[in-house]
Amino acid sequence: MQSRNNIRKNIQAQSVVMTETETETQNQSLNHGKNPVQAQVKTSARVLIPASFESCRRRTFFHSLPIILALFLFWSCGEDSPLACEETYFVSNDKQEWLSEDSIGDSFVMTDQNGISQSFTMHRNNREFNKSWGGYFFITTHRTYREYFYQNYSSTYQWNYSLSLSALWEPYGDEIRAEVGSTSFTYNFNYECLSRLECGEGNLDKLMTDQGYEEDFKSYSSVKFLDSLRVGNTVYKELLHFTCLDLAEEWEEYTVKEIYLAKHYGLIQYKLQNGLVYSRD
Amino acid sequence: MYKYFAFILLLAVLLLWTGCRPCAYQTIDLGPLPEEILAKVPYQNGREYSFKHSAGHTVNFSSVRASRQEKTHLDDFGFYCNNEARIYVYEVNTTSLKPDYPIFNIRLDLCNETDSFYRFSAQIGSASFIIPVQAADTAYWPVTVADSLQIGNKHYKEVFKLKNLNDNWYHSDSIRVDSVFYNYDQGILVIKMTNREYYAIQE
Repeated sequence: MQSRNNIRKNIQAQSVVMTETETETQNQSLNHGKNPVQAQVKTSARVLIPASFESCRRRTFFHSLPIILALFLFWSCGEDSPLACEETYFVSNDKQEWLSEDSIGDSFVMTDQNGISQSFTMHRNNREFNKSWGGYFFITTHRTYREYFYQNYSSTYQWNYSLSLSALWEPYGDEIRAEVGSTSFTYNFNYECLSRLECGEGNLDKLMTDQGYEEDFKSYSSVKFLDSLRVGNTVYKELLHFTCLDLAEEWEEYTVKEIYLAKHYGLIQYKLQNGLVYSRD
Repeated sequence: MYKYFAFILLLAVLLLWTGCRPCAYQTIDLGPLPEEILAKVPYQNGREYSFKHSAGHTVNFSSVRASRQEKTHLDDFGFYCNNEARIYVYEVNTTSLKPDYPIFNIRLDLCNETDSFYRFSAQIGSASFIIPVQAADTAYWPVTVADSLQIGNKHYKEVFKLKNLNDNWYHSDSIRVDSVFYNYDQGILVIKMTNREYYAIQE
């Protein structure tokens, strides 16, 4: 009896350091040896050793479950989650033709009807990818990168002119935004509509949904595409002509009412509310 | 343990008492700008001044002129105080010329910020100029003095030609303010642009 107890204690002590597979092997070897003492010990071991070991293993598993879950959530949360699928949208090549071919530091001159000239000097010429992400609860499931071009100029008389091109997600496609002074417009090529405009101090925005823009405001402003336009001695081809006809209550003397953009050149002409016209030299 | 905390507390109090006690400032009032200095700017509040562009268009500027009192910023003394910390109270006289055409604004500032000299500066759009308060100051600034300048049929005497101090920041092919001709009697006489256009006084 004493020897059995010693054997049992011995086996229990060994089981502390055994792994799951090792315990199994040990039990099998006990069964194959026909020694009754060993067989009895085997029976006792089956009751005693696995019971303590299994419960410990379950306890460990259930205790670590929240930690594993938290780690999984932590891993899958946030903008940089490796689980999210990625999509990259590029501005199509034909739309990139609306960008000017200037480099930082380059200037172009515009003169008004009174012969007063000013130069517009490029300060920024960026191409970058705007990142956005979404998902369910706190888990990021998708991430998108949208190509974005931005060109910015400032003039002798502190006029600001900028042009940007953005690739949007489906179904929106590409859009162009131009700003001169306090007037700006955003035109969506896919929907062939103005999605946002600012004229003076006021602005109008169209709501974006999964199915497209919601017609939540009626715009009288227009964007027209022209085949060519003569400005001074130069004939420009493929132009975009924006006319602001909304937000009349916000217009001031120097509010820009019309903007002409040409492919490869950018700003060609703009007109103010007071009748002044600035044309590219 | 309590002794330890009490010691730290005592040390902190001593440090505050010795190192960061309130600064003792000496306020020096430099008073108002003298009349002869104010007279260096001939523009009067509420009046209109005209300049003719080289292509013929006349631009009218309306003038707003006012004085205000300012103090030396306390930040100028840094973190530590010393016994010689002084606050200067001085006058700034600002003249703003606002055009009726979308070109640059003009601003002229006179002030007696220190007791040793008067500061006279001009801002035309993004261009900056230092105007001498007396002919002797011309050695320190990018200024030349002309005995006279003819604009149309008129002659103007003792004219300063001032170079744009910010000119180096610009790209060479852009149009910017190149220089200004100024005298104490009429103020700005000519604003020269880098593309040979100019604005000349029209009296």
